[in-house]
Amino acid sequence: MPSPEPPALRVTGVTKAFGPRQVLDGIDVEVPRGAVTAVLGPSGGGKTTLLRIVVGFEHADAGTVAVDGEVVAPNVPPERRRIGIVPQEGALFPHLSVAANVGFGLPRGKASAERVAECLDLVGLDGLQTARPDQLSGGQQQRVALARALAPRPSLVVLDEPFSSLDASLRGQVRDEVFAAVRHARTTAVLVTHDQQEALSVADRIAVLLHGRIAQEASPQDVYRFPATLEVATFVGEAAVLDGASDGDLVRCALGTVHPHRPAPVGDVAVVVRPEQVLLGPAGHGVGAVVTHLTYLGHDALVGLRLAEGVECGARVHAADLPAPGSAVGVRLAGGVSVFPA
Amino acid sequence: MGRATRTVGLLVAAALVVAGCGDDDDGDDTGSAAPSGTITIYSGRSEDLVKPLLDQFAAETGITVEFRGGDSGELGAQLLTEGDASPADVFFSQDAGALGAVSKAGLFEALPAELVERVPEAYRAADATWMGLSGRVRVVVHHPELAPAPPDHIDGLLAPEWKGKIGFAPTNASWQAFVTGLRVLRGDDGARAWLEGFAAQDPVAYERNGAVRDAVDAGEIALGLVNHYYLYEKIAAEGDGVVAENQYMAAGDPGGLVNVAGAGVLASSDNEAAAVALVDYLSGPKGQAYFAEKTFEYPLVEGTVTADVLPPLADLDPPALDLSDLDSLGETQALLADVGLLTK
Amino acid sequence: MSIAASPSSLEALPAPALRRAGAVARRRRVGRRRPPLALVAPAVVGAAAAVVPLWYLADRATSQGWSEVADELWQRRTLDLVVRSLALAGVVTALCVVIGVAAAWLVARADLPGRRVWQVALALPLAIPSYVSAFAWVSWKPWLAGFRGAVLVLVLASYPYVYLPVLAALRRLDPAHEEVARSLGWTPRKVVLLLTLRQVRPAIVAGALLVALYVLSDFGAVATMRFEAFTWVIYGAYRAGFNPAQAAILGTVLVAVAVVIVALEAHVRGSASFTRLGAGAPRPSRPLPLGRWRVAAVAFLVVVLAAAIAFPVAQVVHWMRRGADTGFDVARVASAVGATLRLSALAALAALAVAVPIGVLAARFRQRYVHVLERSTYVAHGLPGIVIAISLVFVGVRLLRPIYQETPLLVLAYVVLFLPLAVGTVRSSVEQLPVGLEEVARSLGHSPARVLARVTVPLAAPGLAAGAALVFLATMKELPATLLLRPTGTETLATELWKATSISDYAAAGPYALAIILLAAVPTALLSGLLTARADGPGDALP
Repeated sequence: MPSPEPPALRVTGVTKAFGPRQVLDGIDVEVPRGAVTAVLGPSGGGKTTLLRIVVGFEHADAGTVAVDGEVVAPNVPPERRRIGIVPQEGALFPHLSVAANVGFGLPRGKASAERVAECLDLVGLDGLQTARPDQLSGGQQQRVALARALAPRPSLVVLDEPFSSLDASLRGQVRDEVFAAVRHARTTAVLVTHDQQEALSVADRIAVLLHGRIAQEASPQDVYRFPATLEVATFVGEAAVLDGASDGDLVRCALGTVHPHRPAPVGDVAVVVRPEQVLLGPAGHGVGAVVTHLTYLGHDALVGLRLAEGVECGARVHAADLPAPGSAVGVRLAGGVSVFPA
Repeated sequence: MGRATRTVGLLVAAALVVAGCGDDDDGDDTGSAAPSGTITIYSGRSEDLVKPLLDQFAAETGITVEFRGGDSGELGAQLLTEGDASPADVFFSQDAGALGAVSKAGLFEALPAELVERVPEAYRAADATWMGLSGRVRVVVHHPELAPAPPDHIDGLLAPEWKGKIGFAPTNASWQAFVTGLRVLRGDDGARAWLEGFAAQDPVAYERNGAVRDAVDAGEIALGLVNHYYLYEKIAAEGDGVVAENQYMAAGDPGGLVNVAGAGVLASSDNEAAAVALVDYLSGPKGQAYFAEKTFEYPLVEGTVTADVLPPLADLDPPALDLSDLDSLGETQALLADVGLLTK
Repeated sequence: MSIAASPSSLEALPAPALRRAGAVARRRRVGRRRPPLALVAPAVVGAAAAVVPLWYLADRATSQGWSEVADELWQRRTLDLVVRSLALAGVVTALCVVIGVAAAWLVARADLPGRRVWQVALALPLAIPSYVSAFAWVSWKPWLAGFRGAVLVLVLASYPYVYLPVLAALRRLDPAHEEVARSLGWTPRKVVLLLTLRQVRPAIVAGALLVALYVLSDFGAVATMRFEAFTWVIYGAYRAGFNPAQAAILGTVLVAVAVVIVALEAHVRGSASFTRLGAGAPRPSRPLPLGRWRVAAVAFLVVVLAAAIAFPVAQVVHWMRRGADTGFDVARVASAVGATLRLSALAALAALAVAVPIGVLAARFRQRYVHVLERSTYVAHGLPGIVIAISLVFVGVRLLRPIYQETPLLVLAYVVLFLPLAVGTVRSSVEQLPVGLEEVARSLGHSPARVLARVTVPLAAPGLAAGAALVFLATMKELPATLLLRPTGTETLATELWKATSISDYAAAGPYALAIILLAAVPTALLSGLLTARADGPGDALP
């Protein structure tokens, strides 16, 4: 049986402290070849540090990083790791044209000029070769930065929150274009982000980085529907956490008796309820609740509810029929829930 | 790169090109059989003054002289720092203090006896390491109407009638040499006493001796403490319109100090014969006549004809003073500063 | 000249302002890597050359035994001199800060008519040698001699050292902070005094350092004004007292004072690394209307320029006219111009070659020894030219005989004298560059040396050119080292000027003085443009 190809990136046991703060506390993560993996975590949580260690701008206190099976950290300098980076703000060289920027990592020659054209075409900016960075919009700059990173055919491309500086209205569109290009080039990509929507929509796999460790590494669906810990549950997506009592098969909580996804521990538990699981009906249908506030989002609305004993949770409701704040409604739960020891 | 940056780069390049076309004399000490070749003179006397004489010397002897000008004191300090490795062959100083310092450091080679004995003993080093070439006498230049009977001794300057009417140049080397001489002759306390009296006269300070002389001639002040030749320079330039006159000091009075410009040969020279030949020329008839004519200074070699406006050197009786002792200028300046006559 | 800003100025702002200012305020952690040998080696060589005078001083000062040192140091007079020189430096620095900051603020922020012209003109006093301007003043009004004359001349000669970096820093500021403060009810005066000035404090302090060191080291102006400063006594010890040991002891005292000032400056400036992320240039701020203050502002600037430039130039022209009938030797002037330009260009290039490694190291690495390396180049800057000259005579004649009194040693003297001018601008212009750019370049396969060549140097080019221009024009005016170390037979404009004035031939001196001023005006005029140029945009745009 042929041995499997090594993953594009394997991080093993990486730790890093800045003074008294332990920022990374034993990171183990694998990035499969050809796919987009997101490293998702809160701001200041160490994602950027991890990225910088992988690319080579920081040294880890312990642990190794291997690219394509070869160990690059701690010994190989950044210029020899063959890892491309698209930084937060593009960081195009202001004194060079777009073509010169894209071709920066390539040797001089005709073949390089062709590669530059190819990469610009890939990101949909063919024809802007002679433009200067200050003449481009934010989205265009990010795409040029991607073309620049892809041009030398790196083993891996790392994107560091590349869309956070763009206007919210443009963000989605640029994101789609950028990742279409990445997939078309079939390059392994690692996206570092704090935006869960971004991670969920773009990535093939998500690694959730909390408190210096990888709390869960799985597909987006698994991370959302079957979070590994309570923290992952509350970090990824909206959630209400209710107290509950479990007897192993069923859990009783303020929303009634609910079914956990997995066999739950016996005793006091925390129940995670997603707003789209909470169905509203007229008062009397299910558990009684009072509407506390409404957040109108256009395509739908989040309804804040207060249940008996002051427990609060939220429901996601289509915008057609919005209950008024203060009115009484009936609440039912659909689907299974995630349950964690209290 | 921005336009401005490129401009600077172009400027630098242009400067290099333009200046590359310029001349750059490199000193080249090719010492060969004496007296010939090239020697270097460190001169505290101005190039405009000395160059023509040196050219004449070169024409006559074939010895090229590389001229390095500067302040006599700084050149002296440079020679002291260079020590044995100095590239200089001859040191031509504006005043005796620098000569004395270089001599005390043992950097001069003794000049041949027949050379130094051309000038009177008072105007040469006792150990023949340097000799004076021309003399400058301290005088009191006066306006004949404002001061028909100027004093001929320095204590006379302290009389109340001259209060506010005396001019001097506090930073001038000759004035400071006079004060140094005063310290040697009367001791530090005696010098201080005179200086305090002088300061009480509210003397008017000028930048240079020339300015003092001009002020006297214009009647702004009655008396001025300068060197003798300033008056004759002015007369030569402007003719009969000049009214000021020189008052020479009484015999032995410190105010009549004769300071000398002189030269010596450096022991570090590698072309001694040529160096001595130069000093020989400067103290010879041609050199002495040149100085007499050009600068109205006193040629020191006996037998040279002085300018006819000058009283004969023999008639003056300068104070008895070893000019080598005038190298303690540092203390003089401290004293002057203390009394308030140097700085403000 | 450092133009980095201190983070503490941003702490005073309300949170919304900080969020809006956003990307600008993030601090990158530089300096955890070890500096590459390729930079450290030339930096060490350069810094070693810069401290040659210190080695000479130590050797000479102790040559007559430690008791001599003690005697000299503990004299009443020495203490008096230190106090006098510090007083002069203090007063001049304070006035330069006031004038320099006011001028920079008016040009950068107020609605003056003809701002471009003012911007260039206010830097021009750097083109005028202090000995020329001192003589122009004292020969017109002799009662100026003394402390006030020295203050007048030195302030007018050196306020550009504060004006230029503050102007550059003001141009670089994001107006968002000021706008938020105004929206919170701060009056314009409060904004300027409590906010804007705090943000450019590092630039002010760096400029003040250069002024203080310049005043300590100046001889021409204080001698002409007959103010008994330390430099005068050192000169006296060399060329009147012929006592190099005493001069060296006094020089050591001056070095000690300079070390204290240099250390103080680093402390007051702060160790911020204020890198801008992103290629966007800040919006230029709207000029503040001066209203009825306009006339006063213009009058103030006119007075400064008249005193600093118009008056000395007029005096020089006046001297020339007095000697108009005798004419002047065109060939001699041309030869002096050629020599001056050649030496100045060589000095500028050599200084830059040393300043780039030191400046890059100081900007990007925070190790202690890097800090010491950079600071050491400033210490010799406080010494008067004659000390540098004599120390290089001493070393040159013993260790470097083949180049003694040849161009290379003279260029070395210029580098020792003026290195801090280049190091400061290189350091601050590299500090302005986002570290991210260099990191991206490395990820694209470039070694640190190639990154320096292809990214750092081209982007920092205006700052490098400004450093070269400063050294160029300082060399043009330099006198004492040139006199002692020039190749025999070579004359520069400054030495020809000196020769003429030493025989009181002011008419002959005129052409040389004028040539220095006119030629030096060219790099000076470019300076303000270079220092305010933005790496990412086509020059600076006045709104």
